[in-house]
Amino acid sequence: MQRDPRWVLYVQNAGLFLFTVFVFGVIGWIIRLIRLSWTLDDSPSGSIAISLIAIPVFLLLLGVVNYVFWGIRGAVEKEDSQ
Amino acid sequence: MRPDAPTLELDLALINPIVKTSRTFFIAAAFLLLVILWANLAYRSQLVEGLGVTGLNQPVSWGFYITNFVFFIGISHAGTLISAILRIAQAEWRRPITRMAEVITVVVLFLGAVNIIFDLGRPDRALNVIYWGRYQSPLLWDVTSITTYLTASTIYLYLPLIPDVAILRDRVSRFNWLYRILALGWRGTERQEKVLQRAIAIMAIVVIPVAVSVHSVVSFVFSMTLQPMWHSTIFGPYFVVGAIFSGIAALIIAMVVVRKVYHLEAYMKPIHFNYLSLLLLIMSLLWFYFTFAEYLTGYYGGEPEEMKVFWAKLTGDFAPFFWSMVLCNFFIPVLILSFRRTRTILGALLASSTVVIGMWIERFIIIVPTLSHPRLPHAAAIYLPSLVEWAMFAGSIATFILLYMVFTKLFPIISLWEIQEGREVGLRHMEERVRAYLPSTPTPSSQV
Amino acid sequence: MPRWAMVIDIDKCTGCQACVLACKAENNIPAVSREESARGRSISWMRILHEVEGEYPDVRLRFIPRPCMHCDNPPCTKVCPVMATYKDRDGIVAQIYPRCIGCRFCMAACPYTVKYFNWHTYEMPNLQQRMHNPDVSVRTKGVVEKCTFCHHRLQRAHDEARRQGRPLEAGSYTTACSQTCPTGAIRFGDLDDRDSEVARLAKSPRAFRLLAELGTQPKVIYLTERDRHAT
Repeated sequence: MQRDPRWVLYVQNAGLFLFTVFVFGVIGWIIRLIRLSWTLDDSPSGSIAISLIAIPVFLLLLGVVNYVFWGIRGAVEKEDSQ
Repeated sequence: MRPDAPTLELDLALINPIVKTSRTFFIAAAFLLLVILWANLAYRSQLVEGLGVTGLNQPVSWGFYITNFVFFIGISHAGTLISAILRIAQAEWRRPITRMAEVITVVVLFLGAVNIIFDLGRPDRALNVIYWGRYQSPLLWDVTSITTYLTASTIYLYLPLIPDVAILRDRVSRFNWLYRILALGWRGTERQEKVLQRAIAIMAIVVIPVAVSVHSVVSFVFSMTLQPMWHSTIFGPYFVVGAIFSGIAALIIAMVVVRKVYHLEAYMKPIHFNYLSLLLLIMSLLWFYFTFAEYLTGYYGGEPEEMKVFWAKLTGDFAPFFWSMVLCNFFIPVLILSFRRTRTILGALLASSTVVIGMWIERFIIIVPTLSHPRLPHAAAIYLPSLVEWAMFAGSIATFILLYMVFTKLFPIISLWEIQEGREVGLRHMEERVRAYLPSTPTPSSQV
Repeated sequence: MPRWAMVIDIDKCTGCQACVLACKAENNIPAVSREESARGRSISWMRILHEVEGEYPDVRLRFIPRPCMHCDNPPCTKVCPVMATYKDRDGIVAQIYPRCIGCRFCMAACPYTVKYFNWHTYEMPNLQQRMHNPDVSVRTKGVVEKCTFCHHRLQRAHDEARRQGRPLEAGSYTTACSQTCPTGAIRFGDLDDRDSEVARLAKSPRAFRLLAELGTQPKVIYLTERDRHAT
């Protein structure tokens, strides 16, 4: 079984990078909304409650994607180098 | 799960749609594109003229678009919920179904979100929800929850796709670059298999509460207001049950069509439809129970504002819709699916079609009658959807079908490796499980 | 902080609709065509509701002017996703037209049906444009609007008071409907000002609020007809 060409690896890395940017973008957005509701005194409790659930879930999804990415691709590189 | 294992030859039918495309496909795609073009023109007229091109008015300011939004988000519960629950229950009969279900979820969620954009008076300001969002508003709960669900279900679709994409990478030359990228270098080694199985198991568990939260939060858009027959505590569970109900029906329809068009009768057998039909039957009974509880509570209390809406639905202007809904969601499916003789594939298709129609009517019946009967005296208001709204509805359905069709041309619509896994280890695992349930055989010395 | 409120005496209202017209003139409300009105698209920040009670010969007809209630616990501001409607410091529930995305959630949530939507960008013939009140913005299609207690007049009163270096005087700000009402059925003022007419009338035994049981705490207070004492 041949190895994937370099450019495939770059595209895959780019994909993971974009996904990471997306997840941190969502988390950053939620935090912005918390701060906005705090400044405007506009029921900040709602924002904090939602963030307590949504942020961990997104971090979990990022974790699973990383686990799969490095677990599957990483295994190939390790075997190839042996 | 070795991609070049000899048993792959048995399942070449699953790769067939990817390597061969019939003329029917192109004709169907062309027709769908025409419908989408029609919807596009309709939307342009709305962008230029304003929402006045719809049939909406004061006080019925929500109509088709919101109904479609709730309806499509509801159908999204088909996929991930069914696939995740069946995986966790280790039900062996799930194997030809999971991928089809997961694709429905991802495509239809996207369509639901798009229908909300259609409903906005100022879609050019949609980003205001991002900049100035307020978490006190149920719409923000919607945005967050649906984003989470879309992300999670896309991941949940992609993970089991990896081994199949690896097979395509090794066998199919067209779009090979795409398969190579998505396969992540999959070779079916033991280490990779362990990682994938664990990740899929985690996602199956995570996706279920996310899915439940999505349609609960959609229901909160209505139940958090003070309007008669909206402000009800049952809405969260009611909508989730309705979503699973309509989702299973949509899944059955998709399965029947795909089976016919791609000649996959060997994989989707009557027994699969039988089990899904039983699930549909159970959901129909459950839906009826929730509906009955909701209306009985309203009727028994007899609160005047609620009764105005209640009677409008049961005997008034909305009676034809209400009773069609009950017929389509309860009487017809229960009649067809309760008896072994009628619980065939055709029966399942018939029952599912009426359920899909009935559930759309149910969303409509929840939204419009309450708005038509404001608390304060108001001139009589009827809502007649305009051609623009019909066009957008048709366009949404056409987009869904087209995207689904494109998926079947790029990836196997039935999970190859799961079928192989079923053949190779499924039987053995099941036998081990059943053996574990039964009492262990006593040794001779303890028999006295 | 002032709490601007309205007291409407149903006993005095003749249903003449002068308040409705005054509101439309003051706030640049577009005239909607007959066809569109028949489809339920007319915009009327102030409306006269009529209630018919009883049967001949004991019939009663009642006119109830209905502006926005400017609730102290508004159900509409809770559900707005972008804070395009909010309760400001003066207790007025305001609309921010440039922020509104037209989702119409506030319209669905309001139990009094006081919110209106711009289904089109309404054409204004040149003559009507020249009659426009320069203090009030003209709304585009796709946004929600409603009665603002003539908030622009409050701005003017504040500006005038600041220019003259004095605090805002009681009675220096009133709404167009209140100013126009020929019978004096509509009274406007500051509920927190104990000397104001509105504060005094709010304590009348004839006082009631629409849909009070919903807990919205509306600041439009109605006075029942005199021979139907609320005792």
